[in-house]
Amino acid sequence: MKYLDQIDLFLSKGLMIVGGIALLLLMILATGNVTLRIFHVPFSGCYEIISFLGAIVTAAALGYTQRNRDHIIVDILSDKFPPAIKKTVDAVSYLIVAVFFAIVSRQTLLWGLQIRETGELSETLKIIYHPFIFGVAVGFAFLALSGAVDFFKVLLNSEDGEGKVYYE
Amino acid sequence: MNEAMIGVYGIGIMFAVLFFLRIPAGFTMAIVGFCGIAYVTSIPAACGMIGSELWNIFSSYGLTVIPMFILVGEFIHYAGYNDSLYHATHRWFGHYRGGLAMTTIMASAAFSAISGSNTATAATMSTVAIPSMKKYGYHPMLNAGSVAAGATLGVLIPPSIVLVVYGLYTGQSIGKLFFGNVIPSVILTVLIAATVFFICHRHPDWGPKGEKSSWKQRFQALPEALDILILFAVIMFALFTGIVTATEAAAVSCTLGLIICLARRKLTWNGFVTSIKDTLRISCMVFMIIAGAVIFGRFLTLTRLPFEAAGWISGLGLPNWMLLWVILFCYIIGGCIMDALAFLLVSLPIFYPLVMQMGYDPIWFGQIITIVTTMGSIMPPIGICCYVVAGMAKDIPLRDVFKGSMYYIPSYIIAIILLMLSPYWTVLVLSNLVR
Repeated sequence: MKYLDQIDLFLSKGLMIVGGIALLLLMILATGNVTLRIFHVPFSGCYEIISFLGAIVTAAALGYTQRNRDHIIVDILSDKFPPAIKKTVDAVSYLIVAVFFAIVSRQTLLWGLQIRETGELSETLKIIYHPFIFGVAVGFAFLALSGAVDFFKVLLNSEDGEGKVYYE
Repeated sequence: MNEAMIGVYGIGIMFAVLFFLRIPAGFTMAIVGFCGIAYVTSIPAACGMIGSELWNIFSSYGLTVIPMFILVGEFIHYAGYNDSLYHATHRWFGHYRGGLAMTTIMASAAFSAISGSNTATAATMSTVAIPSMKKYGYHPMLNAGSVAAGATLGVLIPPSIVLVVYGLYTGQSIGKLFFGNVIPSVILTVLIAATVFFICHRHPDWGPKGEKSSWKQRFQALPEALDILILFAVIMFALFTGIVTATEAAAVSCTLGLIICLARRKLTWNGFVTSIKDTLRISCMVFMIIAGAVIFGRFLTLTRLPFEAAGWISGLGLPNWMLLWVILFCYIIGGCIMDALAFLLVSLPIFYPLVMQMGYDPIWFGQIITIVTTMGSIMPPIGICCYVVAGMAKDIPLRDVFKGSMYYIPSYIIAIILLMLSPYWTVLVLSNLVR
């Protein structure tokens, strides 16, 4: 369990680095395109690349965000539960999250495979874009993995299921 | 079973899962929406939809504005501009009775002009303002209440993430939403500052006068505050002229913000890395709520519930203003028990078609519900801003933070009434100017 958790953490952090690079590229590309437009030489495929980078930015953070409990949880009622019930509820919710996002990851992967098989290209640049879809599928797989790790942690009593960060 | 009834059950199940199962709001909406679609259509149809739908959301060009606006706020936050803003406003307003509390409101408004987040503003201003007010003997309720109320300006003053998400979800222009938001933001900032004045008038010992700064000191404190003004002006000018998209405006302000922070040697490597990391986490959280809301919205559309509800309510023959108040009441309750953004996205698929059918302006409605939901962030029992302030100011009990915040509720109600009485002069006059 410990090793699985460490592998999950290591890979999630690795994906965060990929996401960070995509974020900075997104910023540079959008700013660069504005500058190029001033000189009447816009980069025509800019919107497409920005969209693909945006997908990577979000997908790369899915596992790490779940690990850090950064998602908004409404715990106004569940906070009042006795510890044993809270633990059971946590186990159930982690399991649901793991199963659901495993399905989502699989379906996204299948969607990417379908795009690859049909040879679909992006509208403006006419480039293949299924690798980005695979990237999103990998992000969801990490989210499912984090959910599964959390589930086993609760089962093995190594975590109390607490910890959340709110943000608006 | 009637399809609309499936939608009603879906909403009930979604809230039950949200409140009892501790599953994040975005995930809950996605899971219940997915199961609902599978029930209404078929499991293969739902599975076929989910992959392509999520890819379309994640790779939406419009949504890339979110990480960009978050990133510029993070750069400014980690560069310590909160201190500079507080220092500058303190020089100008600190010598009045309750001046430090007013300073907090003004500095929060200025920080919000870049940040776009309630909780980020609450956390930032708590660290800066609370120790200063404590030093000058401010009453804990005035101290914490002003920080919490000031922080609510985070989602109100453009660029607001809540407004961005509202615009993207409803297909409204973000530029129009931001400009329509300028007058309501000013009104609310003035009303909150006026509330401090009235509190200090009623309880003179709650906010003693601070030391007076010379004119030289006042002007010396301005240059760094001007950086924020420049960034704000860049964003607003770019959106106003329509020469760039919202994403480009946000990206340019990011780049400019980074250059300013580096030129002034205010952003460390650690601050830079943490800004990126925080941006990724927060963007991911926001995206998942949007994705969940879109999937849940698809399910509701399949059940035809929003249309049936709109038809049923219009058949009641009640005046529109009364229906609007009922909707706003739902938002107040929702804002009290849920995060503003999450509730907004949960409720929009239900209420937005209704409001459009009643003939209200979508830009105006966006401003109204932003104010209403942000008011919820200082109301018990959830009042997220109060929790953040209480978490930062360990010696002020949560009860006092909530009590102190309650003084500001009339400001929100007055602002809402003003917006309702004069939609044109409060919202539409500026939003209509945007190209």
